[in-house]
Amino acid sequence: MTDRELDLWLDRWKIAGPTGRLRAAAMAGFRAKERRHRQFFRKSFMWAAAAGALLVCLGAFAQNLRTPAVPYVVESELTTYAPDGTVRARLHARSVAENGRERMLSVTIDGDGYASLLLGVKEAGYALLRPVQRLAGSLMAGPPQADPARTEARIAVCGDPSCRTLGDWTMPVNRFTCRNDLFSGEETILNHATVALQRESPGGLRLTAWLAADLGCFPLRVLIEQRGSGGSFGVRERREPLRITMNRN
Amino acid sequence: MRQAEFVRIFEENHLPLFRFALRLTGSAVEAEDIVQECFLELLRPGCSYDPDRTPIRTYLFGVVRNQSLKRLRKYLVQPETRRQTTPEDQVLQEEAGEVVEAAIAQLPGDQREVLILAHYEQLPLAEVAEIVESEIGAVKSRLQRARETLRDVLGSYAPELRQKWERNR
Repeated sequence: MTDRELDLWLDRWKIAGPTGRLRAAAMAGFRAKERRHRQFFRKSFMWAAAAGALLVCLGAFAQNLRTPAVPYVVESELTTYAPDGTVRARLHARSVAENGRERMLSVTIDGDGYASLLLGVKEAGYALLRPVQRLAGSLMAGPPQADPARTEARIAVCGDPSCRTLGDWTMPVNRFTCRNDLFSGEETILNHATVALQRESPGGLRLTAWLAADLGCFPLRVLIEQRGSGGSFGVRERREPLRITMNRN
Repeated sequence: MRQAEFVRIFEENHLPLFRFALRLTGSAVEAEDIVQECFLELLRPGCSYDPDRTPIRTYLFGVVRNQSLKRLRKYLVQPETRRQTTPEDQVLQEEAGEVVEAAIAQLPGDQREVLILAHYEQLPLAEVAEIVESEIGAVKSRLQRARETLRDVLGSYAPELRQKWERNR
């Protein structure tokens, strides 16, 4: 048998082609692969997002670890009054002591409606929070430093842990003197012993602050009154503590 | 791999791959499964196919060959043969295709695959050698031995059939 004859023999073996099942299965396999591919990327994205969020949380946690722990949080009600004695706005604030100053963590405004909100913001911004915060910050500040920006309206604790010796808040820093003639009484507020100190400005604005010695002279209660034409005082702003949360850690 | 590219590769190669698998295993069902697995292998993450090193056809034939051999080993089967009658009967029934199929099925596996690739798929011997992972000299030798065996086996069948084919050509 020659090679040519053998080839002819071999060519007699013919076979049928594949069924449509092969094509369908291959294409289904491709679609499944594409689906897995998309799922893989979706899962990868989700894991990456979760990892990113975790990193952010860890970063924040680490930052918190580096930040000195807040020793306590004071929740207060702040109320501002109109000259006729009616309440103009009422706010709730959460404060912490930070580096000798008071820092507001949150402020919520009582009442309903947008007008009340605007009024509250206005009152908070211009009538109550600024003086109260400034007063509180001043009261909690450490011994006076050479800070020209804070030469006026400053009350500073003169390194006195009893909170009875304060700096003269009307005097410039470079003429700072400590004085202890403002004592007006003692009172226990929310289980914290306080010393009440009072000061009246030349404009007739009288401020009374109840300072808690065990809270670094934090002003738990603040009363701001305005002397009227008849000589009597009318309350303009009041701050009352609602709750004190001590952080034991 | 994008769908268009996958479809192109499938269309260009699935028929010869199927024929190769069918001739190796003797089962159309097995052949379809093997070819399907071959293309799924191409989609598998970490697929070993390297277009810079191997043409896609060579790679796919290699996968089909390996899959076919794996199945043949697993089931310990030889390609299906239908030859249980005398040569004269088969000649009379003009079952030449089955005769050839049976004769090829009796070849050793390494000769059978080389013969199928070289004769039926008309692949160059160099490519055959790459597919079967062997030297080209060994491939030539196997092909030569396969043809000699087939020449003997098929030559024993009725000469008149051969004459009849030649007359009909």
